[in-house]
Amino acid sequence: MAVILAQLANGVVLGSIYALMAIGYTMVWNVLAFINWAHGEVYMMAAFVTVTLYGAGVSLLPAALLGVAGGTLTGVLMERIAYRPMRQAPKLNLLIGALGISIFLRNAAQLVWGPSPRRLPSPLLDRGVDIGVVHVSLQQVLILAVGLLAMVLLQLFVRRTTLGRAMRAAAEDMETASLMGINTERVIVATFAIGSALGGVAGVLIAPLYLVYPTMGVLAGLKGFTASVLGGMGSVTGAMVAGLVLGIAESLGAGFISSGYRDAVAMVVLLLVLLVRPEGLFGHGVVSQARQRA
Amino acid sequence: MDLLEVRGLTKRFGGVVALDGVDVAVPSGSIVSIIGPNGAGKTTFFNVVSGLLRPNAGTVTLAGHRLDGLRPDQIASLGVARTFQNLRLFGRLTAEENVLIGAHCQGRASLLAALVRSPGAREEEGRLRRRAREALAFVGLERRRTHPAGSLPYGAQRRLEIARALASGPRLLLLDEPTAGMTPEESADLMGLIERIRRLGITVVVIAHDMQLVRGLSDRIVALHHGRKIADGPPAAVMGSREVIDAYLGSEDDALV
Amino acid sequence: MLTGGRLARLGAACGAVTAAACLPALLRNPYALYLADLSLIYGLLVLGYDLASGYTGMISFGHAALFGIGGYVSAILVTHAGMSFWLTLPLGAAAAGLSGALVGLTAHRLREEYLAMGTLAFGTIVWLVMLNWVNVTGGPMGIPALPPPPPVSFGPVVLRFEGYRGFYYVLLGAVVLAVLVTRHVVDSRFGRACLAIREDEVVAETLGITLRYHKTLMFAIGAAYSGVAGVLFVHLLRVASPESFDFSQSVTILTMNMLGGMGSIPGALLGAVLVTLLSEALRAVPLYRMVLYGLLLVVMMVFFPYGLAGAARVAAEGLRGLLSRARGGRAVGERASEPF
Repeated sequence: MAVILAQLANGVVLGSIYALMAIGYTMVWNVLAFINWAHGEVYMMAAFVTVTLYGAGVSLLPAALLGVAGGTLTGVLMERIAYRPMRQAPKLNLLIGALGISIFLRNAAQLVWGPSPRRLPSPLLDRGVDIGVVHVSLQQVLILAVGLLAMVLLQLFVRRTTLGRAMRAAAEDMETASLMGINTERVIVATFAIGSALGGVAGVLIAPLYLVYPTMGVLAGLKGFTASVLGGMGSVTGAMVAGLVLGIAESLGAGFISSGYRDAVAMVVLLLVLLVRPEGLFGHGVVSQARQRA
Repeated sequence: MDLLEVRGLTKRFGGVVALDGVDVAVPSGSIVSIIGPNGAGKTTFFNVVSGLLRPNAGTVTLAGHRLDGLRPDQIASLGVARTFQNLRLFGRLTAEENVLIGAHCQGRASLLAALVRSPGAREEEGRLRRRAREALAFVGLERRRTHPAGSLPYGAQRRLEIARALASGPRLLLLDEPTAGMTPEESADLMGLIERIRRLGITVVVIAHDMQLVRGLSDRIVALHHGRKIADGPPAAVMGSREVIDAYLGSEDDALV
Repeated sequence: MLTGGRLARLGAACGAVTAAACLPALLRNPYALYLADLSLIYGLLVLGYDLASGYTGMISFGHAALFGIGGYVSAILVTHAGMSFWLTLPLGAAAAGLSGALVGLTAHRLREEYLAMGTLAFGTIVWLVMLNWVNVTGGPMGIPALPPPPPVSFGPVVLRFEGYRGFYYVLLGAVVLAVLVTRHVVDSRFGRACLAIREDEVVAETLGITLRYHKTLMFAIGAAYSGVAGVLFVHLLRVASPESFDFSQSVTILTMNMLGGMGSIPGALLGAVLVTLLSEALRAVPLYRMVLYGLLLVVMMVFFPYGLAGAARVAAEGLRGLLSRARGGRAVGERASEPF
């Protein structure tokens, strides 16, 4: 029983990470109908910036904040340098271009920082809380807390602030939004920035728990994507719920099936969703969009 | 005898009703035009008939076959072909290749037969190519068959799209704004082309904004407005109808205050 | 049926095959022969990918899995069932082809991004199985010590294929056969239908082309090619191991196809050869290799989305235009002044 609860706790923590990543994908999708394949690398960059700064003597909190900033910057630069010039190009080109960026970044990171994983020590790892029979480290609690906070702040932002409302308008209908005087370029940059910031937060939070290595963004990115599809691409609520569901499913699954297949859980979930209900839990049409253009 | 029978056709997109209980009967061998202001539901009508959209209610019947609920390729093989409002050619392919693809459902040979170049497959290939050439000649593009479709002048592209549709051997041809963007000369030529198509025995339904074309060609006109049919009859009657004129002038809508 | 243009192309093809057949005689160095073998295998693999993804518009990011399925099926049958390498060729093709058909059937309706991610997931799952199903696949170590292809005897004549030189002819034969089959597939009504699907699948459907049948079958055909390539690959390396069939292999395949240009047979082969050589040149620094691939993909997508074949086509058309203008005529594609 204790084992299951421990895995459940683990799952919730992982789930928060996946949820944060999923929101990043979904936000960009909402505004640009584009999936940022390199989102995992944003997560990775944030973690590496933090680890590097900490190693250079910067204390933990500032390093973490700068790490998030680094991740945000990576995302925004991606948009400026690569995605913007290709915005009018056929979908396929964007897809492969984004893949190229992802590959470039994760291998360049390996060149710069070397392949060996790094540790980011956190004082919260050692101290913990006992919930019933389960022992949870404070780091895990932090992840859950920050995750929830981030999601709440995001909802507030999107509903209460001008920029947030502009983002929602642009997500509904880009053309009309720009005709109504909304600076759509600014909205796009802001969307990437916020989505990447969330991804960066995820990367920084998870770093002390699992190690920091150049390809850490690959699986996290793929699983975050799975969560956003499961929740329904375009639905932020869906992304949050699905992230948690996926994290729990993966944790429990890895407990019962061999841990070597742990990563397969997310893959299988993705395939199942795509096969059975591509719109996910809360989303809209995902079958070839070409049909609507007649 | 009606080739195409549409009854009570309804199509909704979320809260918007694009087609609202539309009844249309197209007699075999006739030319029927569909007119109406922008957003009236004309292209949606074509999209439902050709199978790109599923209706929410109503039926579409072609010579007794139910079309609604079928896939576009199934409907095409029953003898329905169409062109598109925004001109959708295979731009990177040559004119001949475009039309050859149009002739697809006239073929039957399996891939295996094609792979071993069986006599049956080769004979069919020759037949399809002849068919494509004929379709190109019919619209006057024979000399430019090796030109990339995207590089042809606009009027020729429109005619190429029609040739491609004809190559499939349809009984019913749906033309969506075939003269959009054409010069008056080109439009007049196209009118002649459509007449020649009718003489082949093909039933034609045309969406058009060009009133001269509509008046000159049509046996009957159907007018749509906000998804509903507001007129249906011979050109003189429809063109003079109060509702049609009002619809186009928009005097029902919020006026020019 | 043989026009001047066709005769020229046929001549060029024969010339290329003859030159390729003479190559082993010129290469003394076994490493060079190994590279030649590897290039041919990748050529076959990319031909398959071009058909599966380039001709259907279903761009897959998990193609290495199909490559690997062919390879592993062969390796397992040879080592556990004592089957002859030659028999595993069609079996590997069938295994990969069936897997491809399965992927195609389930994925053909998805839009590009979802299809790409889905195939990526598929590829990852297959790779994980290769890595973890130790009893069958040998786990991370894989299946080592595969024997060379056994000699084939036609009556008194015995053909031997040991060594890189001998294997070269098997590979060359496979590639030539693949090109011939591809030509026939592409030039058929079926192939044209797939082309139409790639160009504009909505229009293709309205012309009577069934999407599911064509996409699935073409994808399966391409997968079958890649399965054969897989069988050949594991026998070149003499081992079947998971690290040959991971995501970076899928990326390599994609890069090769993009570089050469999708939808072009010479493009696929050229892309395969160039990237294989490039990859070996950068063998000492594998990281730079992947960094380069990433950059290459981005740069190409922005500037040369149609790859080398596309650039060659543009150059050829430009040249034709120049020549035709020099002769006083109108260039192909220039607007006509009269409506007819």
